[in-house]
Amino acid sequence: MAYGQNRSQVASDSFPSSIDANWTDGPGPSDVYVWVAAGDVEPQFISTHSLEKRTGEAYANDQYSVITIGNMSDGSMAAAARMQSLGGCYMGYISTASDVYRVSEMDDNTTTINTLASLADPGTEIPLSAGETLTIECEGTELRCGSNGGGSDVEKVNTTDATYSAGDPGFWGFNPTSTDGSSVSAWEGGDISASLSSAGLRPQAVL
Amino acid sequence: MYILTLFVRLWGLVDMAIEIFLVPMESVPHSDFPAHTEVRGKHTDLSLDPGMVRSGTLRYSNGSHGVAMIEADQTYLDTVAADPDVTRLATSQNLDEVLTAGQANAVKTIFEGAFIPGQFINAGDTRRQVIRGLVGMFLFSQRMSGRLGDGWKERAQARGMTLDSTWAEFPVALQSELIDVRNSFGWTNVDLGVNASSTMRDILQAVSQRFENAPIVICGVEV
Repeated sequence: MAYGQNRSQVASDSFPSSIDANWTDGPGPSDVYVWVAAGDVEPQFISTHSLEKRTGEAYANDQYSVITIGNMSDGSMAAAARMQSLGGCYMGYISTASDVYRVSEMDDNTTTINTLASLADPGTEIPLSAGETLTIECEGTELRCGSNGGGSDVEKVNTTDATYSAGDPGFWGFNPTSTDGSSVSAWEGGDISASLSSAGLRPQAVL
Repeated sequence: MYILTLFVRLWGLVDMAIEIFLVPMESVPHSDFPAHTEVRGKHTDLSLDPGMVRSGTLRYSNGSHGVAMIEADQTYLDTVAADPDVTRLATSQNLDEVLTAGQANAVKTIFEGAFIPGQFINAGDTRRQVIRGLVGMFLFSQRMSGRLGDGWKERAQARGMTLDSTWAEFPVALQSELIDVRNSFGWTNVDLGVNASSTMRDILQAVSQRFENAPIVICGVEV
């Protein structure tokens, strides 16, 4: 399946108020994060790293997750998918320190959520701004990360991994400082369904 | 030197190439945020060298090895290949070369030393087939890690399991997980042919054969 195809939205959230019962806090070393009023009330990561899992609905094994950037000042953020009960998940990840995109896997760890396995680093450095999106798609063992940073929403990198076959979508953020940091202004998640007209995985290079 | 290398690369004066390696996995401070730990294939961090373009790693486990795709200038790729911890599996030019008996035996020895069954490699196989079969075993191991936690293989080894341990000798819990992982790939035991006397080696070889003709994509590069 090509990026962006056959998505079926299950839920979205523009965070009009404090986080509701549709979300479950992931494991972490401290409080999840601080809610800050910025027009709407956005989850903002301050002096911590935190994981939020969307558990208000059921999601298919093949799923996607999209975050809209509220503020991108420090730390890193990710759209997460196939999140496990102990925090393991796949992430479409971006770091503010280097503007580097990656597809990463968060280790399923009971005590911390700060071990990231870098699965694919396309060498793309595109800074994300407020209002732009970051997406992770999981279809079978195919992982696709995309963004509309710098233009239209297109795939930035795809790769293969089989660690997680199912789970919940959500997002992750990290802010190393105690001042206002990065935030998520909206989230969307849903299923990816098979299609008879599937174009299949489209690699960027074939050896 | 960095500026010169970058200049030369941007002007296309240095050939960029894609090569596939078997590399050890390493846990290092995250390149952007040292408070975090980053697990990656050795030599795949793009900040290591301006001659690097992109990289991806398909892991056996976070604590052992991975198949790494690295696109970089040839100087960097040769540096990677010179590391005694690393095995250059293929270049973009020799992926469909047939292995000689000597090459097949050499790869078998390397794999067996990394708890990777090597008996599926034969003279006459192409490097592409070997990589796909290897990746297939790695994907199966990843799924086991997702269920049992990373390091399942190392924990099993610490409890005395070897590649020659038989199904009948596996703990019941391990047998159950292997069955569930088999099912999650959509296979039946008819597909794998496992019985009480099958070894872990036999199981992983059967898995590898399911992937030998299946293209694999690592960071946008299809093998």
